Amino acid sequence: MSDTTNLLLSVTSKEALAKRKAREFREGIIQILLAIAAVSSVLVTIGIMEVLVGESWKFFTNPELKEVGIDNIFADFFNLVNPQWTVLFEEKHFGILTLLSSTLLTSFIALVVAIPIGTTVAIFLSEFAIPSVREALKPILELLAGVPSVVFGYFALNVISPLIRSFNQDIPGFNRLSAGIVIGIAIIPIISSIAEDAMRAVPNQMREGSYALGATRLNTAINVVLPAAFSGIVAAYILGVSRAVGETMIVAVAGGLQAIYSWNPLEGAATISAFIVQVSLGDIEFGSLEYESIFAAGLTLAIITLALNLVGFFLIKKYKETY
Amino acid sequence: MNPEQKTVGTVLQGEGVSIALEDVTVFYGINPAIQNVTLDIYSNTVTAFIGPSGCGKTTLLRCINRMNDMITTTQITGAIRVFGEDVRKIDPIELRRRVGMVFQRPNPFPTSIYENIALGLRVNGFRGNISDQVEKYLRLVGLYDEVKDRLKMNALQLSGGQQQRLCIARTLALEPEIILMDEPCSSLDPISSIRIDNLITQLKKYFTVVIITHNLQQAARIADWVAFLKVVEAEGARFGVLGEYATSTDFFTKPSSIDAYNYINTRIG
Repeated sequence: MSDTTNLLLSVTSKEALAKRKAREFREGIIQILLAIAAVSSVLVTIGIMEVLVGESWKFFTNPELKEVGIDNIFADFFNLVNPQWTVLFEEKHFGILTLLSSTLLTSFIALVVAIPIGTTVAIFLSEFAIPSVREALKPILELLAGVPSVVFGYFALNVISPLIRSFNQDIPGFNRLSAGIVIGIAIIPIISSIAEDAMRAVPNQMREGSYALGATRLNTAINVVLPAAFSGIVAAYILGVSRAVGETMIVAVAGGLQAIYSWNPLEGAATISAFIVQVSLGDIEFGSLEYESIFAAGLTLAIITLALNLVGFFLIKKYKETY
Repeated sequence: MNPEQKTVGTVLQGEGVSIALEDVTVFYGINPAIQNVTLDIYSNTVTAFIGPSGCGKTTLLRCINRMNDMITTTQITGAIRVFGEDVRKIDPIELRRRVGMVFQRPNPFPTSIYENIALGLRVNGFRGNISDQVEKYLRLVGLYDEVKDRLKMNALQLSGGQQQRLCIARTLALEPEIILMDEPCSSLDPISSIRIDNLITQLKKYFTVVIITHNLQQAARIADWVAFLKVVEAEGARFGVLGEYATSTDFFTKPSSIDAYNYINTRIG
């Protein structure tokens, strides 16, 4: 009896009110801290974009462009017929396709390497490997993802490139084929690990339905599990491409640093990211045309990655299965 | 097994034994799931496995088409013969084509309605006209008129009952000799459930059907034979044994064991 009365009283007593106030205060602080954490990542992204867009804007409107003989910077920047990127020379040209060709070429080679291998590894791990094998292989693959990319760069230069040159000594030591292959190796873990997660998320009853029809494991993996996990696998590919497009150290070390417009993988040429490294390591003046040009190049890279992510987003939405 | 029952079954249903289970015991690791089951399932009949949860109905059913192979810790002793052949000597792929299975929850593949049926035909090297076969079996399960204009639609957009009929159609399209059904109506509404019951009754002309059900009315309505499994506890383990095996009429009107009587009358014995 007395307990109940105390309890009832305690809800409205001064003490209880103070306690409640204190609790609400604590909760409020925690909420604010969490909100700050959530907003900060957005702010950082906005900040990066602000710098990229702002500096690029300065580049495109820079009066110095007239002095170096470029009347229409946009025509020069988007010159698709005869692009030249001669930012560090006397006679300057800013045809982004020069660098972009290298970025797209190395990324394409990387995907040609990584998609078949990564997908096969994912199918093996998810559908064929017995648990003990899977437990042993996954950490090894993840180790591959943890190798610093500069190490991959020297691997490309000192192992893959000599291997390619052993077929033909005329191929230069710095070439985009070796860089592309090694980027491919570097992104295999990303693709295989995300694709495997997607495949393992496919409910077992779907596999059983297939086995019960007399399908083999391979039939089941290809006809049932792959389509069911399609959205996740596409996400894996998109993340792989984004990583390949932005990959810097491997191409800077092994892909060559001359800005040449060429689609021949056996030639060396700088990608966008390699060029940015090269310029930022040199002693160029802050705020100069050369300095601003790397932001224009960087913005191009960011737009490509953004576009890829959007494509991935819509593909995932379109093929999302509701099991 | 009582010899008279066997005679009755054979006389009633003609063809003889489709599935013979002989002293079948299944362990998952060290845990027994079901022990010493011996029974014959007759051709062109519907046999219902009934019994409380945990009595090993599903385990027993999945031994017949070797779906338990997927669980590596399963140990099976005793003999399971399908049309006189030991299932362990038949290639599991071949076995599963001859012994189809329909699952508790509809599990269509995430492809089109057409592909759901065509896929099974293709992986089994079907030589006829695939679209004719698809149409034939969609008609048989009464789905064709509902979906004929949207065969390219993703099967996951169908209703639960339609999905389950599609799953039955894709199993039937392989023209198996035996169809195993693990509570095919448990996730369906009463109307869809009745449609499937009617379908099963038609199917026994061509196939042998083994069905697990918790719905005694369903068992009484469609089954010719009833195998009642019960749970026993011995030496600290719980496992299922065959309690009774009789024609549906005999089982529901004069069950010979007290366990079966209690189960039918939903008494906790």
